[in-house]
Amino acid sequence: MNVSIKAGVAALAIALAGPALAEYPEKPVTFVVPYGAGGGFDTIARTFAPEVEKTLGQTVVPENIKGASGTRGGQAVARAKPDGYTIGIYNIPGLTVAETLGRDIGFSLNEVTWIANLAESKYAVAVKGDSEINSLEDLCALGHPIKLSDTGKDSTSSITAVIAFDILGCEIVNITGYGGSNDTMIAVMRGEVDATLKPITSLAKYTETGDLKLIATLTDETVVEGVQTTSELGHPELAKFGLNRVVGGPPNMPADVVAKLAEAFRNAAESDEIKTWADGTGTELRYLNAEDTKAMMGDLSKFYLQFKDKLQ
Amino acid sequence: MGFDALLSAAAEVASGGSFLYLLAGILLGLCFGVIPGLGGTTALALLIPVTFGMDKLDAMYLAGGVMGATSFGGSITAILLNTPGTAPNAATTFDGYPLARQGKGGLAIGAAACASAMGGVIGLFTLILFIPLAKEIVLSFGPAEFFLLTVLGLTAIAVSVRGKLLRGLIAGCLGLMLAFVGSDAITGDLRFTGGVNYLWDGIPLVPTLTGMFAISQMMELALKGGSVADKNGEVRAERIEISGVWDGVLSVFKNWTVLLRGSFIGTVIGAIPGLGGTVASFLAYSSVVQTAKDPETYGKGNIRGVIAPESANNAKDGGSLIPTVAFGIPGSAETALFLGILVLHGIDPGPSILLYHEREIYGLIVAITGAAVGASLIGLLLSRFLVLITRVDVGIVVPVVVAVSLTGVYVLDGRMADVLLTVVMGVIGYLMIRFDYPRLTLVIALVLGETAEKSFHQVQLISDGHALEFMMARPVSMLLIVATLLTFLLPIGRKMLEGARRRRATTGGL
Amino acid sequence: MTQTDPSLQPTSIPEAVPEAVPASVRSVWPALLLLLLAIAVLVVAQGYSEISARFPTMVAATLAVLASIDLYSRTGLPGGAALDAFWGSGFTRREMTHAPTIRQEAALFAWIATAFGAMTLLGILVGAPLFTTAYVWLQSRRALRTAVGAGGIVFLFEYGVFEQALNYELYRGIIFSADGLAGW
Repeated sequence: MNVSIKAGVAALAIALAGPALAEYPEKPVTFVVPYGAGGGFDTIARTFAPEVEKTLGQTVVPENIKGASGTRGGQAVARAKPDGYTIGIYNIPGLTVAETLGRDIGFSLNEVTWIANLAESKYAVAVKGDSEINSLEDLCALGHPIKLSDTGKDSTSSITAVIAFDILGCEIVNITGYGGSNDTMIAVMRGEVDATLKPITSLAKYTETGDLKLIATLTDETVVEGVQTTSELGHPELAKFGLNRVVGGPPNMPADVVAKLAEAFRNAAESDEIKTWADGTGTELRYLNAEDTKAMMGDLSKFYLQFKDKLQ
Repeated sequence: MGFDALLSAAAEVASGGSFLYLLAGILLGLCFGVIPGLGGTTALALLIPVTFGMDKLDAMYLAGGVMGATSFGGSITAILLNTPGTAPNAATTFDGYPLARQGKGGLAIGAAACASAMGGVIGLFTLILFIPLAKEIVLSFGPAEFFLLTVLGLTAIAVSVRGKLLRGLIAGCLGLMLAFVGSDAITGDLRFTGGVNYLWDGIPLVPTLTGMFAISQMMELALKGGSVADKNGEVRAERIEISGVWDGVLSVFKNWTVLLRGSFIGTVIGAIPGLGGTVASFLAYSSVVQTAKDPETYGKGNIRGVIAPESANNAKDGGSLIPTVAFGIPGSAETALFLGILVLHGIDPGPSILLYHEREIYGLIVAITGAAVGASLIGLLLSRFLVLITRVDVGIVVPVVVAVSLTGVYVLDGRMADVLLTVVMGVIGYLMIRFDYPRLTLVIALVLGETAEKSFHQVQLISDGHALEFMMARPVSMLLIVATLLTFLLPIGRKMLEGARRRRATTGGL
Repeated sequence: MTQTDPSLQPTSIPEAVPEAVPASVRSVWPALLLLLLAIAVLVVAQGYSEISARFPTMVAATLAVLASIDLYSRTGLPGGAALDAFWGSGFTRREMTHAPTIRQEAALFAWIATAFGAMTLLGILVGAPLFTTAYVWLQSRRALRTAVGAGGIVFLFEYGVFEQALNYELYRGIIFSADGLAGW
């Protein structure tokens, strides 16, 4: 309620002062989360919001607009006025892949005004804790196609698994349909699948307790002591895969507004509060400014385009 | 060690301000439970932003209060208006509503309150006992067991729609068809969406349930006119109904085997992610009907038909925490949101959650149980007034329930399209009442459909195409196969026995 | 089980004399529609990949068989009684025992549509109480005071619980929100 009163007061203020004097931001900013409350995207948005507020001097209100595989929230942002009062968080490369495959996501990623990249998770391959498999080589030498567990066929990790094992030259059966990424890891513990490919941070919870064991990370540099990286194995292109949480806005946002928002997100990302939270939850922060984010998006589109045939 | 932590958590709740949060949670849970279309999931989703600025433990008490109180709240509407306040109360309508129509609403509410509270307590103790085994329990339920559970659920449908087998099965098929709409869990292909983006994620459950039960029931009621207890209840003095409440409470202890069975089924089904309370209470109900000596009295106001689903309903909350304490994964939509609250407070739920965050988890357990008991007490205190709902004239109840439940559906996800779906489902539900196709079988099939299909394909892939051998080799699977066969054969066996007895009786008489 | 079984009477709901089953309920149309639906789903499913089509095909085929049995039992051809005994295809245990006229039903459908329409156009906070008031006043024909009271309760509940206590903005309606239909 406070929010709407503030909004009303702010709107009134703008009306009285006239547009010439108005300097962004004059009223609360809506931060669209394309998934439900309590999920990964929701959490990061809600954690960042109060820190971003400190720089902007205005309330940032996370709003969950879920549905249609996360595209409905993106559509809502795309339709909003490009005045900086509506921004959103995007699942990249989930949307990139969907667009590459020619799915109608209801808006164009090309037209989104990219503001900042907040976090990036890298992938790793894990097997059961007491398994005799100790490397990707062992895994590929099982003598049957490797059974992997995953949530949906279109999920980023599933797409990564299909492409990565193709590059590695190992045959896989990707068993999809598990309820969430935790369920896919538990499937490995139950022994019904041989391995799973998931973000390192998600796997960490289970490797800590010895339920799972990492055999390779899809990174350039060693992330976990004693675990091979795919770059060491001679496949540096695999380190390109990751899961990004990116902030963007409607097409054609004014440059000064974008700059202000990007600065606010940078200050937030560097704040102690966010760093403590990230440590506690194992979130890998990776701030990129507006230009770098845009460049990253372009790179990712090209990267996934070359695998178009494999994904259909 | 589990009990020590439990005691200290209980002491913490009892002392000071935390209790207020619990009470606030209970009241909100009761309120959201009573109103069709609103439920625990909606309440928790709305509370997430509110808990952001709160202390971790206070947030737990608030969430636990809501989780523990909604299911009893929902039974009130189920009994008095034949409209389950939350989905898991659907099975309570079978016998609760006939009781209300006979003017025994107080009896049914008393039984529901007591069964809810006891079910909650039993579920909690089962959970504490099984915490050391939690990991093994979760690991013994894989796709094979999920698939067999859905088969058991679908079999129970066929058996439970006594006297209406054909149209019950038809409604079940319709429910399965609705479950296929949207993106296929295995291949990701879009099916039966007709180009509508809204349907990508499938037919959402809450709008379907609200339409099927609340809107359609209100339409039926509006066309009937009068008030719920109109036909024969008007002469009964109010005093009788209030004493009926305590009879209802006592009836739960008299039927303690039903209570135990309901609680056990609730805990087990609750522990299985994806099935949830609707299936739990439905299975509890059908299992009691199947083994009853007098199955023909069910559906006409048998108090055991209220005790079984309501105890299952609250015991499931304890069960749904088993995957949480084992691996930090949710066992239900509510626990998923609860874990979301933890993440917001900088806790990463994982397999060691109980090691590092014992206080929060036990705080939640105590809050849920306290709420189950507290909500029932509040319900009993208010029952005198609640029963009056059945006497309010339909001309006012109908529009109020329609307006508020449509609002509730909107609030869950903020989509007007959900409201439209609710209206459509309401009309379909009404047509089903009118043309005599059971609605609950459609809904149960819709809940089970997706799990059935995807776990079947998963078993196929996991077992390299030898699904049957794979299942036979797993003990829990075997148990479920036996349970399914029993579900199917018991009623047939009894029918044959009865027939034989009757024949003997008639020949003897001659 | 038939309703004349005397042993059941004490425990069963003391219902008014069961009204005759309306002709529309007994007619072949419901079963025929379901059969057509099953066939339609069967046809559409064949366009999907093998795995995606497997379950829908199975269920649609089952529905087609069941609907055919339903259809047959409604025709009054020989064997109907046997079908009823095994499948319970008769109408002796109806859930709804009153038989409203088509006009009454159509009016009610219109009211439900009105509720949705009012909420969509004017927003929930205005539409829902307005619908309640209108229904109580015009359909139920209660005093205007009662009607306004009922609408007021709905408004107070929605405003108090959602907008105030939970700080949740209810849908404002096509007329009052800038993005109109897009806000769905």
